[in-house]
Amino acid sequence: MVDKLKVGVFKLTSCSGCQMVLVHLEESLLEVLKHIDLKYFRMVSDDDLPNEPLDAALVEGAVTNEEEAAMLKKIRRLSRFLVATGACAATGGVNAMKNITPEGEVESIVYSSPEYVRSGKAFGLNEYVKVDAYLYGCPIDRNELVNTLMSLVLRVPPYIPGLTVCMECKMKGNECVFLTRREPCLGPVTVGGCGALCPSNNVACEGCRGVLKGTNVNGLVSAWEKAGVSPELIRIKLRKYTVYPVAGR
Amino acid sequence: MADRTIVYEYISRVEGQGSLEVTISGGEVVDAKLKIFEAPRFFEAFLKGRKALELPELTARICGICPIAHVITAAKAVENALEIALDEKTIALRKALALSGIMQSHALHVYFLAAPDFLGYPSAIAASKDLADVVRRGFRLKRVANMVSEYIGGRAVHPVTLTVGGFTKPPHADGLEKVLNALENALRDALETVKLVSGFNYPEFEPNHVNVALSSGDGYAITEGFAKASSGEYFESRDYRRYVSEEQVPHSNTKRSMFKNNSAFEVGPVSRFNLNYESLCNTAKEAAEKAGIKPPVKNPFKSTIVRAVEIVQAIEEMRSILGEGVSIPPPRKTRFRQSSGSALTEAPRGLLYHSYSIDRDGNVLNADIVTPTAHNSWRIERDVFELVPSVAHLDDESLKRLLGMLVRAYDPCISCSVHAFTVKLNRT
Repeated sequence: MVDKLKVGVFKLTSCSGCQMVLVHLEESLLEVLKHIDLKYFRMVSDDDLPNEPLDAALVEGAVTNEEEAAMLKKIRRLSRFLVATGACAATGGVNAMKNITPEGEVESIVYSSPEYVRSGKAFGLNEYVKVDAYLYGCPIDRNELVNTLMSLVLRVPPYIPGLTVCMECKMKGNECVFLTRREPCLGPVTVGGCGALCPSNNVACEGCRGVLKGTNVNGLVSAWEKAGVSPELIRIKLRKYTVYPVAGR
Repeated sequence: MADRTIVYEYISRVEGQGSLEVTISGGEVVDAKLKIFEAPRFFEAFLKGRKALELPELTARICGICPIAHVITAAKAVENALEIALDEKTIALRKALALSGIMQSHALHVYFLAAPDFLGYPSAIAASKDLADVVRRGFRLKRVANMVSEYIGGRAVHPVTLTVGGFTKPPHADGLEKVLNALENALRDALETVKLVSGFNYPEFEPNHVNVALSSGDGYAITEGFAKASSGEYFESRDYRRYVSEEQVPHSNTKRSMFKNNSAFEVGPVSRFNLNYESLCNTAKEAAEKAGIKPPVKNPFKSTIVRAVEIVQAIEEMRSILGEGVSIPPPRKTRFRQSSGSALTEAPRGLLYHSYSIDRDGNVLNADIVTPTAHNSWRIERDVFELVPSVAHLDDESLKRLLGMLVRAYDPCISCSVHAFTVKLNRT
C-alpha cells in the first residue's frame, strides 16, 4: 500500500473561511482522509507542527508581517508542494485594500495609540516563496479543493481553470447583470470555476478569483465607461480582492 | 508553592491564532495574558471610502466561521441609517439564515473543537477511528446547517444573496421540501447531541458573570430586539456606546470591552439561554431539562450543553419559518443621504455590533465594529484569575489542558477579534 499523503493546513492573515471549506467537505472529508494524513491542522487538532517533511501544504491567508513571512518560508522548506489557498494567499485578498493608504493613517483609524501597532503591506504568498498551485476564490470552491487534493494523491498536476466567470455565466443562461442593469461585473476577466455563483444570484462578479491571464481588463473598463459607470465606482471595483493591472488607475 | 508560568502557545481547536500565558504565585494568578498573535486586519480602516452597499459583502470577510452574522448585521445597520423598513417575510428569512449560521458554528464547536477534550482525543478526526458514529453525526448536523445556509444565502461561507434592503434572489421554492426533510431528520441528531454532551464530565466552576444578550418580546432573539443585561439594563443599538466602551491599554495592543466602564461581561449562548430561556421552544426546553441545565447557567464549561440545546432551537425555528414558504418581495430600493446607523444581532458567539456613517453618495465615512470575542476577551481573562486558585495543585500539563478548555468554552473567534486589533492583556 502506498503511504498516505502527508498534508499540513496553515493559516496566515485571513478569516479561516477557506479552512472551513475543508471542514465543510463533511462526511466526504472522511473519504478524503483515506488517502491523506492531516499532519497539521491547528483549527481542529492539537497536533503540533511536525519536523518531518510534508508532501503538501495548504496555506490560507495573506502575508502581512515579518513573522508570517518567516513562517511561510519555514512551511516552504518543509513542503514538497505548496498550494496558495484562497484569495488572500493568492493576491493578498481584501487585506490588500489598505496597501494604498499610508501606513500610520491606517493604524490611527483603528487605535487611539497607533504607535504600538504595526502592520505591513498585505501580499500574496508568491511575493515570498514559490507557489506550486493556486486555489482561487473568497472562499475557495469545495469541488476544486477536492480535485486538487486528489491530484496531489495521484501525483498529477492539479487542474487549472481556463474559463472566465463570464463564460460559465453564459453557459448557465443567466441574464447579464451588466447588459440589463449596467452593473460593472468583473466576470469577463475573472478566473472561472465558481460556476458564476454571484451573477447566478443577481450579484455582479467582484473578481474574488483574480484575473485570468490573457483577458482584456482595459477593454472591459472602456465598456463600463461607455455604459456610464462612474470613474469612482470603477476605481473601487478594481481594488477589492485583487488590484487590477489597468493603465492609469 | 513555587512561582510558575504556564504558557499555552498557539491554542488549538479555536478559530485563529492565540496563546495564553498565566503566571501563578502562591496558588494565585498574578498575571494572565490572552495573547492574540494573529495579525490585525484593519477592516475599519479600509472600509472608509468604500460603498455602503459593499458592507455586507466586505464585513463577511472578517470571519469565515460566522460570516452570516456579519452580513446580516452590516445590512441592518445600513438599513437603520437609511430608515429602510423590511417586510415580515424578509425579516423571518434572515432569521432562518442566521439560525443556520448558528447551527453550523455550534456543530463545529461541539463536535470538532470541544468534544475532543471530553472524549480524550487530540481531534475529532483522531476520534473518528473509535467513534465513527459520533463524528459522522457531527458532520451530518453541519451538512444540514450548510444546506440551509446555501439554500437561503447561495453559499455557506460568505453568502451572496443578502443585501441592503432584502435579498438579491429569493430561495427556489422547488428546493424547499428537501431542506425541510433534512431539518426534520436533523432533529434526532440534535437531541442525541444534547444527550451526548450532557454526559460529559465538566470541571466545577461557577463564577458570577454579567450576561448580556439580545432580547425581544417575539421569540428567541437573534436578529431583532434590544440588548439586555442580567444586571438589569436595557439598551438599543444606537445607545450601545453609552453602555459598552473600549480601552486601549498603554504599551500593548489591547482594546478591552467593558460594560458600564468597569465590568467584564459575557456574551454568547449562555447569556442568551440565561436571559431568554422563556422564549425557547418546548422541544429545546425539554432537551435542556433532560440535560440537567436551567437558567442561570453559571459554569462556562457547560456552554457546550447550551450550544447543543441551541442547535435544537435553531432546527425547530428554521422548520417553522421555512414551513411558511419562502416567497419574499424584491429588495427595497436604497436612497442615500448623509446618515448614521447601527445594529446589534446575536452571532453564534454572542452580541455583535456594527455602526456606520455614510454620505449622500453612499460612501462609508466611518465604521465601528465590535465582535463577540472582543466582548468576551476580558471575561475569559478574569475567569483564569478566578479558576486557578482552586486548581493550582494540578501539574503544568493538566493545568494547561484545563485552561485551554476554559478558553475554548467561549469558542473564541480570533479572526473576528482581530478584524481591527490585537488583544494582549498584560496586567500585574
